[in-house]
Amino acid sequence: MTSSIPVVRPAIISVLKNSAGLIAISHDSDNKAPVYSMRGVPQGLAPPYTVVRSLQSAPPLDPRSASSFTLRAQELLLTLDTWSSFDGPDESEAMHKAIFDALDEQEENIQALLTGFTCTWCLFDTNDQIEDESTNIRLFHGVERYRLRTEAI
Amino acid sequence: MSRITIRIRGASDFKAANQAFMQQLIAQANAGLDSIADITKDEAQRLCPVGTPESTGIKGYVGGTLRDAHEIMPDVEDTYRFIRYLYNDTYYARWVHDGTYKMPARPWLMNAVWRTRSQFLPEMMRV
Repeated sequence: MTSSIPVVRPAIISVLKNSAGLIAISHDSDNKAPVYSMRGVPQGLAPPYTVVRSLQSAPPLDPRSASSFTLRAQELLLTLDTWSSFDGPDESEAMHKAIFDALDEQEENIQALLTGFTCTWCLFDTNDQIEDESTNIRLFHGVERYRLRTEAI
Repeated sequence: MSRITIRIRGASDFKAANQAFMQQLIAQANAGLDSIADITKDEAQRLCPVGTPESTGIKGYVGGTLRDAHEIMPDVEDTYRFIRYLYNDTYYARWVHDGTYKMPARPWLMNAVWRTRSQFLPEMMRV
């Protein structure tokens, strides 16, 4: 079965780049939110920005209930990192809310950008806010996880 | 006006049997959860990063503090909430798990859950 990850990853990046909430916090010269894949983060980029860290796929949980739909289905775990150098957690929390508004139960927006797959749901899973003191600037590191389900058409 | 009264004998026996059945059901569900938690913990320990003399730059370094610090905890407040928590209290665990600005993430706990999840339902059915 073909993995949906190669088509879901750019769709997620596109949805987030066009998120009004994220654009309101920060935007690039093209007026899109600064959202990058793991290897696409520009060298020396200053926060705030968002990184699509990983997408992992697995078959649906119960293979015994497999139907023609579940056989073509994959469940995905999406992990995003947000980085903020704002003094305090406000900006990091605003980024969390903007991402939540853009992704949670917004499968239609992702679906519209997919070819060869449908996205049947996209649901918020967890959020962590971690203070990062590995540099001389105090950073707020948000870790966002979402679960998605795709089915091959 | 007439009244018909029916007396059902054995209601107390039925109630007692029902309660015993419920207790047995809860015990089996908890056994299933314990088994799933153990499977996930084993996988987490297998995947957990372990420091070496090379990675730390410390000659003779013996790692494994993070790997050996996994614990499982049930929900102690409500036995009807069938939950198990797999956690690691090492102070640097979350930095290793989700990375820092200078260090890539190594999410071994999330990967352990993701890799063992297909065993959850069969294990529950087996127990």
